[in-house]
Amino acid sequence: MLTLMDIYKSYEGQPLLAGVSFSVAAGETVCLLGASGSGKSTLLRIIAGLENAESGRLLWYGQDLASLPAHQRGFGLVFQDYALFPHLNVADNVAFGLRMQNRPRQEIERRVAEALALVNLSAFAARRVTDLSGGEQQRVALARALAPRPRLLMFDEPLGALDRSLRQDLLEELRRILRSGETPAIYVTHDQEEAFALADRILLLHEGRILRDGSPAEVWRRPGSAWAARFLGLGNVLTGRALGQGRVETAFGVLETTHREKEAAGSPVSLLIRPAAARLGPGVNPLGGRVADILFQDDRYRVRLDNGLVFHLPQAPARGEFLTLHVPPEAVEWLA
Amino acid sequence: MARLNETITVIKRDAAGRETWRYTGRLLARRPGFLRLEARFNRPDLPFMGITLRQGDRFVETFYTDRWYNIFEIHDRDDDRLKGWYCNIGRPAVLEAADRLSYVDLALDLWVAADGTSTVLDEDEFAALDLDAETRAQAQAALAELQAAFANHTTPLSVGKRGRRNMPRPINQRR
Repeated sequence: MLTLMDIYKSYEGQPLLAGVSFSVAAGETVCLLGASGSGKSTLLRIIAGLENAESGRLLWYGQDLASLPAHQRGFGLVFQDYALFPHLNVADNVAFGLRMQNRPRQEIERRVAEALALVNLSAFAARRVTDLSGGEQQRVALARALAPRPRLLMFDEPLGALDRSLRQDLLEELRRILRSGETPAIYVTHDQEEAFALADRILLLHEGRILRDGSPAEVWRRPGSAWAARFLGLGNVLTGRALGQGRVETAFGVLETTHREKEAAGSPVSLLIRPAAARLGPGVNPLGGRVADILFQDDRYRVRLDNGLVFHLPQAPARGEFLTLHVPPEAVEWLA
Repeated sequence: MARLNETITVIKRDAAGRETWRYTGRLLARRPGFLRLEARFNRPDLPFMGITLRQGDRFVETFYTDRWYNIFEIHDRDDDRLKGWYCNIGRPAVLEAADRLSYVDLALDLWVAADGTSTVLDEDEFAALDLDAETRAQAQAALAELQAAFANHTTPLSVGKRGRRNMPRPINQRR
C-alpha cells in the first residue's frame, strides 16, 4: 500500500538518505532499525509529510503523496516525547485531533472510547494527564494516534524515554495492538530488541541506505554484512583473506569454512562466529584462549577470552584458565 | 540584542509591507530560529469564536524567523486558564532592530480552541490578496504544517535537537 522509491535527502551537503526504496503491505509492521544518524527519523518525517525528499517518490496505493499535506495523509504518529496537553484530561487529549478535524461529537466520543479500550485506559478517561506515570502517558499518546483510525501508524522511538520494565509492558501492549489490527505500521528504533519483538519485517538502515530487508528470523540468520552482524550483536566478526576452498586467513590463523562459492584468492572476507558455536576440546579451527571475563547471562555463561573472542558456555570456567575449544567449519559464516 | 524580560516592539505589516499594528511584549525566550514573548491583550473585550478575549489576557507569542507562521497561546488574565491558540500565517518574522521585530501578515489564520476545535479564518481575504504563486504556496504549506502539528499534537513550541524542526509542543510536558 505504501511504496517509497529511491528517496534522497541531504543535510548541509551530507547525504542523509541515499536512495531508499521499500514498501509496506496491509497489516504489516515494518521496523526501521538503525543507529542514531542513520536517517531513520528523517525517513519517517518524509513519509509523514513533515519534511520533503529532494528526489524520489512516495506512493499510497499508486497515488503520489507529494502534494498531499501532512494532516490529510491520515497517518498517525507517536513520538518519544509524547507531549500531552496538561490542561486536558485523558479523554480530551485523545479527542483533540478529532476535534481538529471537526468530527461530529458522537463520533468523537465513540472513537475516544474505542481507543482508550484498546490501550486499557478506559477507567482513566477523566483523569488528569499530569497524574499519570510515564508509561500511562505514552499509552494516552498511543490512543490519541489510534483514535482517528489512521491508514498508517508511525512510531519514532516511542519507548525511548521509559525505563526498562515499563518498556517491556508497553512493548507487549504494542505487539498485541499491531497484531490484532489491519493497520500497517512503521516503527523506528535503534533498539534491536524492540525491532525483533514487533516487526513482521526489519529494514536495517545504515548511512542512509537499507542494508538488509527481511523477516526477523531472516535478518538474524543472514545479516548480510559485517556492519549488520556487529550492530545486531550477533557475535564475533573476523576479517581475513580468501585462500580458496572456503579457507580464510585471519588473525586467528587459517579457518576452514563450508563456503564453496568462487572467491578471488586474496579478496577480503568477513566472517561471523556466533557465541554458541564453540565446542570444547581440540578440533578444526582451534580458537581457544585464556578466560579474561565471565558474565552470567540468561541461562549460560558469556565468556570473553584474552584473544578478544566471546563465546557462550553452559558451565563457568575459571578466570585465567586456558580454554581449548574449536568452531566447526559449518559454524563459521561468511558475511557478504 | 534584547535580554530576557526586556521590552520588544512587535510590528504587524500587511501584505504590501505597511504597518497595521504595533505593540510591545516582554522577551521570554530566544533561540536560533525563534523568539518568544509575553504580551497583554490591549484592546477592549472582544467576543471571538465562542470565547471572550479580555483586555489584559496573557498572550505567549512565538515568532519564527524561518517559518511562515507565528503562534499566540492565549491565557485568561485572571486564572491563566488556556483559552486557545491563535496562529497567524505570514512571512517569517524579521528582527528589524535589537528590540524590534516585524512580520508580514498574509490574512490567513488558524484558531485552535483549548479542546482542539479548530477553524481556518479569513480564507476569502487571503484569496483576494495579490500574491505570487510561490508566496501563496508557502502560506498554504504553513497552514497545513500547523494543522498537522496540532492534530498530531506534537504541539507548541520548540526547536528540537540537531537543528531539525520539531513541531510546536505544549507547555510543561512531563517525562
